[in-house]
Amino acid sequence: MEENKDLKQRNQQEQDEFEKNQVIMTPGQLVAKRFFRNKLACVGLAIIIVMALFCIIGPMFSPYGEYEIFYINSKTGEEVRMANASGNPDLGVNVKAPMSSAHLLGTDADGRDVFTRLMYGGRISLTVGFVVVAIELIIGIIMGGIAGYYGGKVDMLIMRLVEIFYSLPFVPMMLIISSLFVGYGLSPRYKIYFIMIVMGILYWAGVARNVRAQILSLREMEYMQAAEATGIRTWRKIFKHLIPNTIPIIILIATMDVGGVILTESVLSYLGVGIAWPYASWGNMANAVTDSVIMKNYPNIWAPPGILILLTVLAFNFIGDGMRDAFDPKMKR
Amino acid sequence: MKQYILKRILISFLVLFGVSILLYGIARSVPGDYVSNITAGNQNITPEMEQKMRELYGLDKGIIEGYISWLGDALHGDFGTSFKFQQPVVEVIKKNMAPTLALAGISMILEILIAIPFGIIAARRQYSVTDYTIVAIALMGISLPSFFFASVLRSIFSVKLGWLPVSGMLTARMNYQGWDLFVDYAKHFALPIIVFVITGVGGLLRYTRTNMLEVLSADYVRTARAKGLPEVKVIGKHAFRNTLIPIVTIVGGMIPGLFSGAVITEGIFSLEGLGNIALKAVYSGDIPYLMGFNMFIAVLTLIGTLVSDILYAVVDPRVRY
Amino acid sequence: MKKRMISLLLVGVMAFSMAACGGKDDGGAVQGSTESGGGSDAAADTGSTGGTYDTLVIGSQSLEGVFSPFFYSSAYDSYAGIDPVFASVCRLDPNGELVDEAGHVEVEEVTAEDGSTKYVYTVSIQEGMVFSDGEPVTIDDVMFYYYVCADPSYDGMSTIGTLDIEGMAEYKNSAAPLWKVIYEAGADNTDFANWTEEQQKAFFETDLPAAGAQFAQEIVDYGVESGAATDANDVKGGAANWGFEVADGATINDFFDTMVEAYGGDLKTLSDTESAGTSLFDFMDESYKEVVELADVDTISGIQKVDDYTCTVTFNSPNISADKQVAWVPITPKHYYDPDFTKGDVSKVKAKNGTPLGSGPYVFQSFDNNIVTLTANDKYFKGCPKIPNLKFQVVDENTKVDLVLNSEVDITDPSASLEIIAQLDENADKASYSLVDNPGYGYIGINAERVPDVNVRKGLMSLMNREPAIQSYYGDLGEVIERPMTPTLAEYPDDAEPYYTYDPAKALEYFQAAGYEQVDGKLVKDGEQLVIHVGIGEASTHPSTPILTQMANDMADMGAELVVEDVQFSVLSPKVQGGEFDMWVMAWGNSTDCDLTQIFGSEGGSNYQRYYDPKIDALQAEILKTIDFDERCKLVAEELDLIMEAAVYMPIYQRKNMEIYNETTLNTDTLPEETTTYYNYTAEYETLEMR
Repeated sequence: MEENKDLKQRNQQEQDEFEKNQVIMTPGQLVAKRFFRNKLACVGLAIIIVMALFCIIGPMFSPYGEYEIFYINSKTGEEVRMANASGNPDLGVNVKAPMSSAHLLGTDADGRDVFTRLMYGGRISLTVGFVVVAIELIIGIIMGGIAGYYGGKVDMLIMRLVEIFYSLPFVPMMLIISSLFVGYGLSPRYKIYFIMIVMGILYWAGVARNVRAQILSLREMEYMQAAEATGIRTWRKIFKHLIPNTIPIIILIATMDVGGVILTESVLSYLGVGIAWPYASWGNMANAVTDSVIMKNYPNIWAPPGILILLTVLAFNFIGDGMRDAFDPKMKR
Repeated sequence: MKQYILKRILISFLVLFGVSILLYGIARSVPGDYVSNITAGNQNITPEMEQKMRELYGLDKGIIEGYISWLGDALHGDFGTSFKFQQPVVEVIKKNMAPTLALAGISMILEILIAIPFGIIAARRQYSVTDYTIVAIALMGISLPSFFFASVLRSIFSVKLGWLPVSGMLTARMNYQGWDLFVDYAKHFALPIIVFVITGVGGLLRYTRTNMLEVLSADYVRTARAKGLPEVKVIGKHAFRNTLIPIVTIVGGMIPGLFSGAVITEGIFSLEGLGNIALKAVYSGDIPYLMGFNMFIAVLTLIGTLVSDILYAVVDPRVRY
Repeated sequence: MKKRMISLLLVGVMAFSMAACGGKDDGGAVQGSTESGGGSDAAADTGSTGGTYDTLVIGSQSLEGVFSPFFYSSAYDSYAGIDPVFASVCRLDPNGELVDEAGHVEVEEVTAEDGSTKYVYTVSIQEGMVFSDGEPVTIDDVMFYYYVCADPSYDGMSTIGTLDIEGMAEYKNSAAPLWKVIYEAGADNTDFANWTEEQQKAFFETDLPAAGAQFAQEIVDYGVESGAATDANDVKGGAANWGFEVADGATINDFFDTMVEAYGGDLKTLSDTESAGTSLFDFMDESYKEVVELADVDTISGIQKVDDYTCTVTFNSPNISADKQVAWVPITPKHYYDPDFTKGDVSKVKAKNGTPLGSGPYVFQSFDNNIVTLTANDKYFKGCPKIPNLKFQVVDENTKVDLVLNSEVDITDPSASLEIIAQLDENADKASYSLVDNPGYGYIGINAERVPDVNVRKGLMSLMNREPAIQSYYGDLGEVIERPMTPTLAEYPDDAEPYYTYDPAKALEYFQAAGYEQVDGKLVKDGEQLVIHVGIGEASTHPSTPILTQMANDMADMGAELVVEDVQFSVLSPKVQGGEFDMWVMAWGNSTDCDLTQIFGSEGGSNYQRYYDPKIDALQAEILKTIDFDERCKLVAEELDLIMEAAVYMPIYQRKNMEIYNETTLNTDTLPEETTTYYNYTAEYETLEMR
């Protein structure tokens, strides 16, 4: 009896499971399901959401300005905000102040609130990440699409262009171009936009290469021959039938690259050609780590931006990995 | 096959030509040249002296004229004289190549040695704790800017613990010879190499893991398993060999990244390699050196892609010549 | 001014058993390799166990390896590979005065045959000195230095070639392009030694007018494009657009002639300044660019050899720094650099850029692995230095202190900060330091051409809150100064009062006095908002940054705008020189005398503020001739007041330079008694000792 019951129960369970599996899922849902099974990917997504909230909404609640400096009266120890500054000889800039309730993470070497700058800096860093990737995708998809579809001379030409851009050493290039901006009188406020454009232009080659490879293989598929037979226009074939099928790889490249671009921005800041003073980015804030005095005595200045960069880039990498596993139907589970 | 290789080499020269035009054009458009840099802050230099120096450095020529004369010389293997070092660029590059190549070469080998086994282990245990740990650690390495890593590591290992030298290539105080000299070099290069490996290994590891995953779900692996082959053999013989092809080809593409990384890491650790010099050359407007360095990297990159393309063609018969 | 801490705690046993000097030159392992089993740490370990050190390691900024007294451009190359290798005729003493070293200089006023006053400097050197290769030192070697630096093909940093030495101009300008010599000889020239009559005729009658017409036409065409001239024949419009006035119906050649006249016949400057794209000479045949040797001027008549150890240098005009220019020079071996030196070819001298050889305390060995290696010179005229090996290692600015505390480096010069001093005070047993005033100062300049209204400039200056910025950045290591001249110079007026203090209300008054009004929250004049572009190099670590931050904020409050352009130094300086900023933040260094003509004179090459005042010029000329110190001080003070009144230069800070010494390895008792701006251990290499 006992055995029988057990068997029955098991049958029932199997039945339930079967019914459950009866639920028909769209490919998108399948991908989502696989994605959310990856724990690291979920963590990554959560981090990004928190960061985005911190940077977008955070500054609205901050009492201080992005590049407001604070003075301190050396006699009374009283802090004076920039708007109330005077020629009082006792006033000094309140640099490298310790953490306190007024300055959650203290002030930096110029006497500016670290916590407030972290929020503004995050805005810039994330924006740079997304915009650069958007630009590289636009150029890369168009060029890669055209090269892959037409093949022949066009392909040859575009691929040589890709190789040229591939062979340009990125760091020296950015250094030179950045001094060009200044040389030709670009306002510091707009410099960041130009940096984003240039980075996008220098980065498109990788996207184009991947998209082209994908399209080359898609072009040979039966559905494309069918599309060919219906006689639709070329651009429709490229952008309606080919490009959409490259979307998984595009999304993948995008997530991976956002992280990479945030890192690159910080390296540019380190080299002194990133975001223009006085604006903040996580990169130029993390730069403080190279000052041996700050490194030793003021972890509250250098560590937070480093940690935020680490978390954010890591999160994008986790998401990217999760996406790849999720998109690939050949994967186990 | 021969024809394919020949064609690829020819194309590479064409690409090099394009690269050189772009590089020269941009480098020369930069405002402020070498002469104004070295004379800035010196109260005794007169404008006439500056103009004279500019003529002697060939900076009074236009961009196009300058490019043509540069190209003409370069085709004869003469990349001009570095303004800063007052020596032929080829000499400067030759003299300072060793540290950069050592740094990049050793790091690359270490990266491969670490990335492949751990990538395979992670793939074999997908979604296990081992997998998560390996992937998380590897990704952390590629989620921090290298200057940040370098500074933190140096602060811990050199300044606080005193295990490794703070910077430089040799202990100046000592006149080491032979084996001791080698040990001294090794100590000085340890930290820069560690930084390189940590910040570079993640990408390769991830690539290995993904490829391995793909291969593991392939039919022939399933067949091998079904045959009852021991797991060691399945992985070592069937799966691993097939992941090797894409890995070999990606290694060629790592070269430009390594050299770009050298620009930063060498600067932090005061290693006098090509990258560090390039950085200073940008700041001072040493155009001949910059051109030489950038072309050197471009050539290396092209050789890298060329070799990997050819390798691919050799191992993958589907590639059309 | 001088603050030096010598620790009382001496670690280890004092042991002065320095290896003998001779015979070390063949290099090789001296002692390191025998006890180095543990690698680099061995160095630090030996200190505490009482071992001896035979190598002085100096931490240097990056080196370029141009160790040539003729061609170096980086001061660090000079410290590492030139200063220890070459002995100089004279040098500076702790007070910045010229004193004898390996030689002596004297000046004498003489009246020349034509009645003019000449200034004859007699330079002599000690007898019996030899270079490190054993060859004797003679006055020819000093004169060789003058000649290389004065060579027409010389492209280094020495300014000897620009001095007003008798015969210098003839020597330097005896070779010129063909167009120049023909043009200067004039159309009536009858001397056809260097060119033919046909060439001359062709030049004046066809080639020059044709090129001039093309050159002028390009300017007019430019005017057409920009709409200033109606068509290619509208010479008047095109010329007006370029700032020239020609009569109605003038031809294109008239326009060119007008320009030539405006430039007093100086075609080169004309072409450089007025070109609308193409140089005037590019419109001529290539053959006109060929260089013609006019006459055989092979010697500078003002430089005369008296005997093997004496020479004279004759100046046409007085110059308070002439003695330094002729005597504060390295003695460079002619037999080594180029025994057959001929005018116009410095290539052999250049070929020795990487391998200096002189008669100084140390002998250059190599520059590898970013380390310059030198060994003691037993033939040094003051005696063989006690430390057998001297090395300069390139180190990163940020690691300098750690390197000394870890005993990897013995002497180095970090940029001073309060935290570094605190750290050194904590480790007083390991390191000591000296602080001396930097012979320069930081300032904010305003371009008087871009900001022509003196009231606007005064308003801007009243917005510069200097004290808090300098106080928090430098503390005791820097001070706000009130006049644009380094206080290390004796002529600096120490009692100078601040000219413009921080006062936003006063600034607004100044702006209003200049005609600006606040309309709708904007500070405008004739409908244009007050916008000032300021250039600064590497703002994130600049001491003047908070001044700009505050200024930008105050200006925004008033309705004006301060646009801060943070750029690399390599971009900043050419833009400042080109006058592309309204305002800029920079610093001057290495001032050795109170001659400010380069910076504030109307003809000064560094007059970036573009403020020209004949009164200042007159004062400067006066100062250069005033030998009496008190009188000169008065004149300098007067000049500085005039500059301040013009509100073109806001002096910001005078900072200190720091040197740190390793107490573990270096016997700091053997350092010079007095370290000043002009004098430090490098002047006494021979007496330094290690522990």
